[in-house]
Amino acid sequence: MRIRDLVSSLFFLFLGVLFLIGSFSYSIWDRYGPGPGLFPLLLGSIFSILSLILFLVSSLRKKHQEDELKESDSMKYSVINRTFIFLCFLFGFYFLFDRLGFLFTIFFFIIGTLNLFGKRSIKLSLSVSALTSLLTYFIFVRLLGVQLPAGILENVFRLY
Amino acid sequence: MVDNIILGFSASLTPVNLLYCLIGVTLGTIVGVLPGLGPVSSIALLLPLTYKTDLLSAVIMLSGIYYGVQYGGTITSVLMNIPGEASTVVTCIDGYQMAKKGRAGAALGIAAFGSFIAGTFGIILLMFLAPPLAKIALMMGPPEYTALMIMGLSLVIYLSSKSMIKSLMMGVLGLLLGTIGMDPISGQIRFGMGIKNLMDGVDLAPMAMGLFGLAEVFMLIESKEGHNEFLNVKTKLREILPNRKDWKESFFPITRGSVFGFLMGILPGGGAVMASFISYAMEKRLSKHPEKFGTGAIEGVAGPESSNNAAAIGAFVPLLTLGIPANVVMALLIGAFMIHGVNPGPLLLRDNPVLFWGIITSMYIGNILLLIQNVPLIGLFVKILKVPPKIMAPLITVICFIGAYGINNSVSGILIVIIFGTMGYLMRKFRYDPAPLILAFVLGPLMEDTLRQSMMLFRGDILQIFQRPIATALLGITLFLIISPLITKLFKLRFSKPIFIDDNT
Repeated sequence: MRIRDLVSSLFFLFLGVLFLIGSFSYSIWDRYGPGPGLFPLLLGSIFSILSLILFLVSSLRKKHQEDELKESDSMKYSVINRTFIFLCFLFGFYFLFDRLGFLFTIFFFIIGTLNLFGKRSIKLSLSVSALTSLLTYFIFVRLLGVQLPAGILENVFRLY
Repeated sequence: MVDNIILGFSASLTPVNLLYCLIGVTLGTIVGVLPGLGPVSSIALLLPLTYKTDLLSAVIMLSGIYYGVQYGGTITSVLMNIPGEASTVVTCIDGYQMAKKGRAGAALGIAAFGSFIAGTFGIILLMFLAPPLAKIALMMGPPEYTALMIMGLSLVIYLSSKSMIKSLMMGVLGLLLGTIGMDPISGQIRFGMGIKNLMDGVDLAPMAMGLFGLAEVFMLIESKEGHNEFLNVKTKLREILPNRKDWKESFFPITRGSVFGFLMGILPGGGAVMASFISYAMEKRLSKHPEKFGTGAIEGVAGPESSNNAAAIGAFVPLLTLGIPANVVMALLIGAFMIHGVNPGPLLLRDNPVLFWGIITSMYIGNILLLIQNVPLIGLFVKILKVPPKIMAPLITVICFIGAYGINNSVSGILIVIIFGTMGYLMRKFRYDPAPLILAFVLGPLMEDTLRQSMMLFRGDILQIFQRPIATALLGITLFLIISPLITKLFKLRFSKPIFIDDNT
């Protein structure tokens, strides 16, 4: 955990400094009183200081004082690999949702994610995906009136 | 008083109003279950429908949605670790852990009963204390609110079972994220990076869905075959309801949550979110076993759930007695009043006693309906846990994405869920607690406003805050809360064992 604390504290220190520098783009104090830059300036400073403290504490911590890593903390190659593929699916959903439409995007996303968990029967994957897409349509679009993008099916949706 | 109550019930118990109440609480529960669809958007959508209905029926339905949402949000928080509502974010912490231990039914049961007790208690207080309490709320100015926010944030330290410095960092990061978007005083866009969707800041709902819901999916993805931890969960209603021990442990959290939540609800801007967070922190602080919190302590569900429901009722105090909305939902309710040409406020009781007492008594009915509706359904809700994670994971993701999309009808909501979902996953890996981040994010804009208003009031000399008794008292309590664990620790070190051990002995 020591290494992770060092890495994360450095990242947060960088983030804090960014906010700190960014706050100077806005007025800190004007004739009316505190400006929009004051609060981010204070917070950016506090955040950077806290990150620095965490960095120093972690770097001074000796190896034998390490916290034990739990199973949920593990970051094995296979885990990272699967997580990365899932992340690609998520971004795929984001890019296709408007373009392809919600019905197809949800359908393909669920098939993909089900297979990520291991080999599933095609029957199960297809039925779960189709059912979810249809239920989404009936619950969100028909019942609750949420306007979801029809995508390539826009002309078909217009008819109904 | 008795005459007034009879008058109120005679108005609210008509078949039409009973139906509107049932529609309200049912819709509220559904809206609460679906992430992203909050009471604000649903009431805003239904407001035009009230043009043609009687005002009492309209307000009964809209307020039913509001307090129905508080319970509905609990269901997904406990079962899927997705907060259906901001006020149920804190329920995820122990509610989901209880579900993992096969105690989802007890968590949902205690939430339902606690909400009912707190709601009923809130209504009684609303009847008796509304006018005097509203006057006290009016005495709170910006400095008092600043002190209150500082107290709320300091309590964040107790929220986390993890490292104190990491909790503090997450709290400050939440405040920083809250500064993104339009500055409410100058109107300047801060840290918008030229992105149009960041002009109004980051939306709370997609952020919470990402940090809690999607992060959970990431964890499910890790387990290769999607091992179902919930296979042995009991689903028979008799077996899953809270037992005597649960009731014993929850009695005081429910009592405290009811009183405290109601008081928080009265304060403008305070509301159910802050009430639930502070209630959780308070229960942890008062508990004999604070280490149990975060691992499935029933007090961590009973307290916040009672307080958010009591706060929902408390928010009606300034609305009905002063015509001041305590939150956005109340502002929309004022809209419903205005559509019918009625001004809520001090004259409402004198000019429209049927309406005033009708609204209050309808809340009793609404609370009973919620209990009747939800307790028998607990068994059904718990059965959801038996759905294998491999199927549950994509479904949770889709629900989160559609909820996030529905807020602004924009894919930017989906992107926010992905970003915060990834962040939530990494935070788990690096052992950072997301709860302080969310609370600080909610409180941040209000805290900044009140701090800047206070500084303007004191012409830059913030130390003048100590000249205000309420603010000083709140800051005093904060200081006490912060230093009390340190003092206890020092005391233990001083009187238990010698600090240094001589190697020669």
